Amino acid sequence: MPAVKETVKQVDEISVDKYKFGWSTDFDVEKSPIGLSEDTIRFISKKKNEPEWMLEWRLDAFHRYNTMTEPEWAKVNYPKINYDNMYFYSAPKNVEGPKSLDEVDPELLKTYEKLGIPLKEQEMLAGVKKNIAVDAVFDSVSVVTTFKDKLAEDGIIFCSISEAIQNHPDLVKKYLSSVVPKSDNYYSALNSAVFTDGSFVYIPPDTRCPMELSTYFRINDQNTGQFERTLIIADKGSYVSYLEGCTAPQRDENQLHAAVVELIALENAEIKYSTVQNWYPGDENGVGGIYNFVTKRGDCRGKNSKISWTQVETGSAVTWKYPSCILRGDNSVGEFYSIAISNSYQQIDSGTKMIHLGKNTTSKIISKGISAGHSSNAYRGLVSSHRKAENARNFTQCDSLLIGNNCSAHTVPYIETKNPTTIFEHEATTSKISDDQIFYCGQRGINVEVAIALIVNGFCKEVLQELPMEFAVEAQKLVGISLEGSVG
Amino acid sequence: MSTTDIQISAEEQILSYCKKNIATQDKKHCFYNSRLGAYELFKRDGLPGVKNENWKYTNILQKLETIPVRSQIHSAPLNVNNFINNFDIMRKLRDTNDTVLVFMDGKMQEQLSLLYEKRNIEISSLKDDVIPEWANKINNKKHSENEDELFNLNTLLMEDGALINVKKNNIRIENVYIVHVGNNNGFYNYRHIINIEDHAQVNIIELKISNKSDIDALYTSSIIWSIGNHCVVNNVKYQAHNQITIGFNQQYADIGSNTEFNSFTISSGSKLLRESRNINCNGSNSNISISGVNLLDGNSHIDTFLSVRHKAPNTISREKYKSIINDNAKGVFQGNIIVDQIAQKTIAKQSIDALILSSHAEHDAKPELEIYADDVQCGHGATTGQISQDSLFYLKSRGIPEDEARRLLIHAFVTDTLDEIKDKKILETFGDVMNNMLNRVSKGNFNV
Repeated sequence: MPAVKETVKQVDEISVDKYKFGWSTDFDVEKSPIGLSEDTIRFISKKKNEPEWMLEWRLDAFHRYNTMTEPEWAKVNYPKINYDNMYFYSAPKNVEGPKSLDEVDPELLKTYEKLGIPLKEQEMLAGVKKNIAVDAVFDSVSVVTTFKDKLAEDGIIFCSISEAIQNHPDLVKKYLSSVVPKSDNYYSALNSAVFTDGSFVYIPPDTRCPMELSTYFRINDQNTGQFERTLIIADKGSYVSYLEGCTAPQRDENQLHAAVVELIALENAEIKYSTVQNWYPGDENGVGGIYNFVTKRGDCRGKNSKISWTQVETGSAVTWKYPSCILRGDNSVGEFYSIAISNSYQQIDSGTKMIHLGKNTTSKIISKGISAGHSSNAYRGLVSSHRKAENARNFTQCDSLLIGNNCSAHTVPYIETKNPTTIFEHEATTSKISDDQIFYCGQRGINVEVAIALIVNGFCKEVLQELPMEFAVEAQKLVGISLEGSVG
Repeated sequence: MSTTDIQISAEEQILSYCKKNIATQDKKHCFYNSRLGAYELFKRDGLPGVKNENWKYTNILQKLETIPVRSQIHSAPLNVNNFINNFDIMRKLRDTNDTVLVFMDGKMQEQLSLLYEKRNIEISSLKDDVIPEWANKINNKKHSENEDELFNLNTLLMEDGALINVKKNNIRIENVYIVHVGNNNGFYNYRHIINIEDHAQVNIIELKISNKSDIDALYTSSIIWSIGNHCVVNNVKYQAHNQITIGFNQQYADIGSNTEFNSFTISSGSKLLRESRNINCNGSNSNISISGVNLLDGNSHIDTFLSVRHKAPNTISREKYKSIINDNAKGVFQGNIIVDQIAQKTIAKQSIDALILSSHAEHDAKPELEIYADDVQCGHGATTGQISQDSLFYLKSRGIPEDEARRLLIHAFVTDTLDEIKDKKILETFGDVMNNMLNRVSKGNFNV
């Protein structure tokens, strides 16, 4: 088939060198002692001026971490990480809390500009309704938080987690690690011991957050792991939409990213969490790239609460990520929408967990995997209903699209039912773009490249439309870049 | 549980049993090396635990406290025809000159079996001193490529079994029955090796039954199939154990090109029953169907593990399993479809449906896809649910009593799996058997 050949050729041509965000910025950085030890943790805690209870919390996590071993069940292969050769803390030196964007290092601003974060523009549009408050994380320290004042008017707390530890210790003590326990898994224990920064959001009762909150994570310094900790609490009857976007500059050595994100939705609250992940995936031979080992979990703690995860995964050499929902409150709702695109030698093992505990809980999983090049793309998901989870309802759909015959796609669902009133449905398909579809488009004067773009966009549409407006454009761009050459 | 500190675990009991067993084996026998290899592996690995991904939902040691001691509590029936006529399926299905192999407590019963001289089918016993070359070859090949703990245990301990060779160009469809009866307490191990040469047809019908409800049996059984090119093979299996039997069944099949292989299973009962099937499609243009119905009640636990690997282009596989789970029973299904890079144009479909009838029942499913080729159509579906209240109401509102309405709906749920049985006579018989079993569903008892 000429169309197939062409596709394969085009996919071969896709070089990850096209990685748009592949540069690094020269900064003075301050680092912790190399390697992981109690001293490193004390250093981090001291640097961040943390209270005693936080240090003890970290050390406890570290001791638990020491008893654990790296998980090997995921369908990913990578050389063993040497944690003794890694810096666990690095911060740009000139961060004494700039009050406005003008005080920020201009080079950093330029970096963001290249990334396409319209900070300036956002500030100019401050009065306009569709604002995005950006808590920008450059390596480990939150550099600037915009719109904080405006949010404060409504009683919304949006700050870095280190600030929250200082200023809102009660909230942090109450909720931190209540969804992802310290010893939940190897990487969450590591994160708990050494996390340096991240975002903290608290939405007071009966408040609808007036704008989309957003964090851009960046990994910039060589040989530093980035360990963010995000904690979002939506109090009774509140609503928040949170955006997370990630880009990292090109590096030859593999970098580690082990974040923990915890969401808590109380009665009648709703949290919408959207991610666009575009970290450096390694070059076309699979050299370099980010290791992305993330634990994300939301807890629908109150009645009628809702948590919705949307993710577009295009970057990273290795992705290990399962945004999950614990549907504890009666009538709570969990959603997971995902697009995972892998190219060259990328490996993705991603999916979700929907744990039905309360009565009348419902969940929906839509996962679209696209693999090209020599990549491996796995969906791994758990849907379970507890004995008392009456009328639990789940619908799962996982579709995989293969482009070229050197890639692979896997589906590993776990479906556990302990209640007779449960209705769980799961369906998965694996296929390639059919020649009929391309022929149909060709008949109508649409060339192959545009046709494939059209079909892939259609394939992902169910997920793309779940993204907030502000993100949808960027996400579509990323889908394009990731499959550039094959989808035009 | 009456486990005391002095009592050693079932795993240790099995290991010491193995140690004694290997010492008594004939060192000159052609199976000795594989037995010794299996012993070393079993000594290293032991029984698989729940940390083993393939055993995630089945904890053997929780179910298996002690290995039953061999005892003679029921005498063997003597009259072959009376014995055979006890079985519904046999009575309806058997032609007068069909081959019937009867195993009692894992041992071949020649006085109960019906063996006719057949031109195209050769049957010998695994117990024989001289094993046919083909059987030895198939056995060694499987042993060398296998690391399954229970297969190793079976290799080590197998005492008896049938070696069936269906010769080339056997056009007449022959029915071969393999009947296993659990008649006494004990730990039994047997293996059948079935070789089907090119252009042959055969129906293999397996029946596994516990004779009495108080027979405490533990068994491992394995069947190794080697199927050539251009064959048509129908395999149906009916197993109804009592609630205290623990069984580990393994089936390995290597399938050649242009071959049709249909396998259908009805299982019920058992304290623990593991149905493990590994199918390799080695040749192109083959068409295979693996399907079954699991009916669980009481405290039974049935774990179906199914792996289908497409190793050649243009092959089709269908897997369809339905489970009805009542009382405290637990049903497990782990299915895996692997499509190798070379296996372009594969069509693979898998569906697993479970109907849960009691609030203490449980169903766990893990239908997996592992795809390395791009031009394929692969899909799976899995559902769990209960009898729809709307449907029940609809039927009741038309004057159908609730019990009858439930029976109808349950029947409708499982009946389409029967479509996978290609042989008409087998289909009718199994349809009747399943009907009888389902008629008792509303009473919560599936055993015939």
